[in-house]
Amino acid sequence: MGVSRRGFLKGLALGGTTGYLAMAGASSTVLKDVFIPPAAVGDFDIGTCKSVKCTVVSETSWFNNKRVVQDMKDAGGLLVNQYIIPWSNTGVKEGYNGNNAGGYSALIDLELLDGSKKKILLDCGWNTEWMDECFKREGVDKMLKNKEIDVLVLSHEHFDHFFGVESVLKNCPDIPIIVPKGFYKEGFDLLKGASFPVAHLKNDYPHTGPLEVRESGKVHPLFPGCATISFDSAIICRVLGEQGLVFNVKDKGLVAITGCCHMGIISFLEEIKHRVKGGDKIYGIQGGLHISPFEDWDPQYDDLIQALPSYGVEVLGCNHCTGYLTAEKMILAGLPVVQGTARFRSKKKLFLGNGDQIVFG
Amino acid sequence: MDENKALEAKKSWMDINWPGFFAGLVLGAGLFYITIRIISALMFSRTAA
Repeated sequence: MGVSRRGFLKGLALGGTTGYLAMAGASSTVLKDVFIPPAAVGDFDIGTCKSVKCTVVSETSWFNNKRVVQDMKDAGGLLVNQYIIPWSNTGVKEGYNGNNAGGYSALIDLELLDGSKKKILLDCGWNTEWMDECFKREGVDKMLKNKEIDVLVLSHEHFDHFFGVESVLKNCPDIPIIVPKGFYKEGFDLLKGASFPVAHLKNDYPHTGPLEVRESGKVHPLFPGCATISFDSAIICRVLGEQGLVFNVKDKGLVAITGCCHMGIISFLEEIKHRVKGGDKIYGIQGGLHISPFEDWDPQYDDLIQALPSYGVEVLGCNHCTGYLTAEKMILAGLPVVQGTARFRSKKKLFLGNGDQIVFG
Repeated sequence: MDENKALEAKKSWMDINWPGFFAGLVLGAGLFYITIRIISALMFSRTAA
């Protein structure tokens, strides 16, 4: 009896090992789809457009990295409310008339399938003098006055993307504005005409048009072939929430356009993939990718660069908070980074700069 | 005698208890199946930490 039980246990052990290994082999080969289901692909149909052209009005958020970082440190660190940080606006050699502030803004020209066109202004920069010059250079000021721009989409509340709103509202006070959920009271007050002297910030032109707050976790259609997606990202300087734009270009695929992408470019692409129809093919990317904005590097960014090609990106426009170092590494990794022209105070041709354009479609 | 004992030992070493083996086969395969189901559920969960 003892021998029989021992023999049974031996057989059990041998069979158990064989069964375990056999199932491991089967699950990674012939039965792979049973055990590891293919990732869900989105089914939200945002429609289709003919083409998207993005003009970089300004990608120079500030002129001196060290100064902007020092401003934040002197105020108490990265968690301090941006509306009470005394940003350096004089005595900066590289600055615009001594002011370190610049700003980020892009003009998106969307051509629909029926040939009609829409214009989206993504973000409005920071320093109103600098933004006035940039808007004049690209004709945005005239477009605003003539009400040719359909909507101002604010990607997030950060100083370099939003504090220059006076430059927009002085030309078109009733422009429709879309913000992501998370804007603070100060942001809404600024739109209404408030001023924040400590931060050298004001708006003398109260917004009189429609204002829409977009909830996170959903795809929000904007125009045929165009939508926004908002994220509940907690960001430095007491900012919450960011939204990005996604376009579906006919015969090409989806295009992701961001302001700063604080939620992370991989998170943004994954969200598009899981929510938007056609998300298995991301044709293009444009905007700030927030990888090494202060030209610092972390080994995790190497993983990020290695992950990007798996989305099938064919056209990669980036600038601003992406970092020149990131652009160099992406180019070395064979990613299709579109080069710029280094004009109008953009420093290098490594990526799209002020006044540069990128077309999808 | 010793030779017979050696032959007996060798024979019992080579014998497989087939009921035990098949029971183990099912158990082992089942154990792996449960493991991979748990892991894939966690991997592809959008809410799990």
